[in-house]
Amino acid sequence: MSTQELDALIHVPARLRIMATLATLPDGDALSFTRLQGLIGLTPGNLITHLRKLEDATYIDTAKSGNGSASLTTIVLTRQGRKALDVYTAALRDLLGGL
Amino acid sequence: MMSQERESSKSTTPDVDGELDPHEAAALLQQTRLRAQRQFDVWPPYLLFIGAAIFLFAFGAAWWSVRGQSPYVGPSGWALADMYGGIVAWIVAVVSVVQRATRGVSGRSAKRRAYRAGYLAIIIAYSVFQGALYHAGASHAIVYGIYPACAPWLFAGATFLTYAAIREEGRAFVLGIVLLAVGIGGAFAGPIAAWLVSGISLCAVLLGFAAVQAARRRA
Repeated sequence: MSTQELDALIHVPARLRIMATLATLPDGDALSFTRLQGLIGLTPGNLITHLRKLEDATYIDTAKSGNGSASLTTIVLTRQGRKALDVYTAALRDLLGGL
Repeated sequence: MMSQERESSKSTTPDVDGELDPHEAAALLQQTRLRAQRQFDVWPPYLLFIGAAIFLFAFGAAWWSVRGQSPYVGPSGWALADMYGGIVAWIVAVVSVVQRATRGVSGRSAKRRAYRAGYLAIIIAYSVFQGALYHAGASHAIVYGIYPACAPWLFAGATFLTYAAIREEGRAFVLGIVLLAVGIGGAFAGPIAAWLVSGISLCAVLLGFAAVQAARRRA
């Protein structure tokens, strides 16, 4: 097995951290953008870029509520996202076992 | 979850958009999970250790104030103030930790937390029932001894068992059984020893819970 078999979308430091952080929450729980940004330590623009890529792949869902300064964006890991992370983790374990 | 086969010579915090060596990826994954678990943990070990000490001291003070009482009257004012003060302080600490841990988290967990406000109903029911016992003429040994020392653990044990039944959660089931046993054991110990039994038992339960939480963090 080679690194090429790892999910390229997840196998990037920022997105791996985003996925791993969201996966810590129970199924059905969402995390606010602000809290996620605080945990990951990315700039808002950088985080948005990575979230869009994950959302395009249906690994996460984002929802926006409220208006103006009171608006709140929440991010939740989808079932596909959880499965993709599990597959990635298993592939990584296999790869490291083979090295 | 994942053991590092060998230490990477590179930093474990690689560039956020850079390439990842598999070892770096594994380390980053484990590091991120551990950090997130700690951030979202509503029962950190230190909180449980503090609770264990508070309950041991609070119930111990109540026991100290009633030991040798014959006939039984009940804990002294200072012991009650010490006990309730300690318990209130711990509840404030718990609420603070929960609020910090769950900040920004929404969804099913948040809805469940809203229902936990129902615990206030349990506290009110406990207090009202104590008043009913007093008005019914129950002795001081019951109203100011066995009931306040033991009833909370029966309420708590029943709550955990109900939660375990709904969520099919083994740990909550075990904790519920243990709390029921603490309450019943204390009741059989009599009004004076009930305080000591409750204090020591609850301290042991919280310390055990803290050890489990600490072990889970290391896993």
